[in-house]
Amino acid sequence: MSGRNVYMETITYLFKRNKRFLIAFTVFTAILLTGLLGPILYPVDPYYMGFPIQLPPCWSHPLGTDRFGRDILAQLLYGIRTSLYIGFLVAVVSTFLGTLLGSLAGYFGGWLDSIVDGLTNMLLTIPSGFVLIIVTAYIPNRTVEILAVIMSIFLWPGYARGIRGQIKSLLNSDFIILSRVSALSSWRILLEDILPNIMVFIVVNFASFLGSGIWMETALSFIGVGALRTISLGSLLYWAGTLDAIRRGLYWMFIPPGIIITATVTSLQVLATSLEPVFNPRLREVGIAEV
Amino acid sequence: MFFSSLALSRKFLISLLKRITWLILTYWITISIIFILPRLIPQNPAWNYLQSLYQQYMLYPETLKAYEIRLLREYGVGMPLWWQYMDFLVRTFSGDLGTSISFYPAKVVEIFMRAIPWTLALLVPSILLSWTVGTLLGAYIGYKRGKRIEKIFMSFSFIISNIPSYWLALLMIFTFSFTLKLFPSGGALSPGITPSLSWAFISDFLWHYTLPFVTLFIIWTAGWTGNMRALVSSELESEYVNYLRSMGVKDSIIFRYVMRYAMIPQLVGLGVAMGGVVVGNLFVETVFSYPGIGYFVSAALGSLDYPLIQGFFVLIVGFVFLSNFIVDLLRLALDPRARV
Repeated sequence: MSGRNVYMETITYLFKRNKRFLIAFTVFTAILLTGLLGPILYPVDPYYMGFPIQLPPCWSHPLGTDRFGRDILAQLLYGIRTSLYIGFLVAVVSTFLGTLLGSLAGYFGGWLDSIVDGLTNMLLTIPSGFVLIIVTAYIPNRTVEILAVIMSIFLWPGYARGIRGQIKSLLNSDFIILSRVSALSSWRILLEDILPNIMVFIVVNFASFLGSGIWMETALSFIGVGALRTISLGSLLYWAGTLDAIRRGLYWMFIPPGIIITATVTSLQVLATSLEPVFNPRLREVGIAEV
Repeated sequence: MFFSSLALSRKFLISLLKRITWLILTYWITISIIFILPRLIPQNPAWNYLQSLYQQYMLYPETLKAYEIRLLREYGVGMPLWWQYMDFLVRTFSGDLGTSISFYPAKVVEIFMRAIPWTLALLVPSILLSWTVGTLLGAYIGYKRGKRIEKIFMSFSFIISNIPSYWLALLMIFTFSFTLKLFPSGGALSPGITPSLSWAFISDFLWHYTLPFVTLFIIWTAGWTGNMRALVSSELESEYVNYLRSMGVKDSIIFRYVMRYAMIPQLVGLGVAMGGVVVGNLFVETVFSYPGIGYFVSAALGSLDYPLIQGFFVLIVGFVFLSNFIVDLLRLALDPRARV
């Protein structure tokens, strides 16, 4: 239990001393709350086409309307919600895949290890961004969930390798050897001895997967291979492109989604890198404020 | 010199052979997947193409039927799957990547050859310049660790490197093309201008080139800066730096060692980035309608031009594999620690 306290101490330290962490935390929480509560607090139907067309930002439509008279703020709020949802799906699926395969490979070794190693090698050699775009383009009737699974397939390998390394180094520690000597089952050792020790690593990766998921979905939707029937930050930008927002000067259509994407991804990246010292004690001494 | 000492070791040769086999195997699996995928999906791109022809030129339905049969034969439709697969492999390795549907009757290889100079012209200078500026900047702010200037630069590079390139491209067009009317909003050349060594061509080319180049340069410089700073600061925490410090060695001398080691991953990064140039930049090229590889890929995705996608895929993934392999060899030559 003493390990927990070190984590908690470091996290409170982060909040008190690391200004960058604090800013990132505030920004991400704000975006999260906007995505969750926004559509409830601003109950305008994002698909409703009855408003005046191409209206610049004004009091009744804070972010204006598009060529079909749809309210942009309502679209943006729904877009944030969808993008966060996709990000969480990607983070959950790829964390699950990576943790499972990485720990199987690291703990049991042998042929399981070679298979997982082969798979990770293969997925890390290919130009994954390009392959991802082509593969998604081939899938008809893409839904948000299918997209999330496909993205996760390309995301887990690096992380699984990390998990495998962590477990390999843990296997030599005394408490694991003790558990093994006392003939505890492998699953119990994995769940009770190993999992708590790699938990922070998992959490940090979850945060960066969340960012990558949002980032990748936006990119895919922008070039038209995302889940385009769903409003997301990426499909908002896609529509801004196809509806010719630039040459019509409708800056309110494409500026807000970009700001939100950049803010979300940046804040998640800062959160992940600031949390790193929590599991890497070597970085802890040199001052978390620096990272 | 490194290579000569490497080539002598038998262990190294064996691991090299292993890597090559592995690479070929991976390549074969990857291109097989891209062959199988569209065939699992019930969509008929040839028929889409014919329908668009039908609507555009109001052909007789009978003509259309005959044309369809000819098209289908050319694309090998109707043959058993294994036959198509063998045909695909044989044709691919003899250099015939088929005919594009949306740019019919242009061959895929022709389109690729037409696009690659544009992509190289855009990506190689922007990667090299952003890498140079980013590395210098990153090394400088890594050296100024804990100072105010480092914090300001770091925050900037963090944010800028996370801006989606296509969004920045949209902003660029909006500001410099739509509002200020300084640069064209897209394309690579004005109509009527052909590539030659004349002033008219060069100035027109540069005029179109500026916005996509600057877009990529801004984002990538931020990325390289952050990368180099992280490398420098992680080297500064290592044992040998502590040791040198305790010996009272001057900072400037320590920094020279730090730079030597921090440069290795940074150089490898440059190698990987240069190896990836054949992919083109789908996003920036598409937004600026710059006729490089990425532009054609995204056009092919839009019209479900399977032969074009498949052909480009086979070529691009092959190039990327090859260059990654070369980068690996270079890393072995550069970094004595990786040679174990």
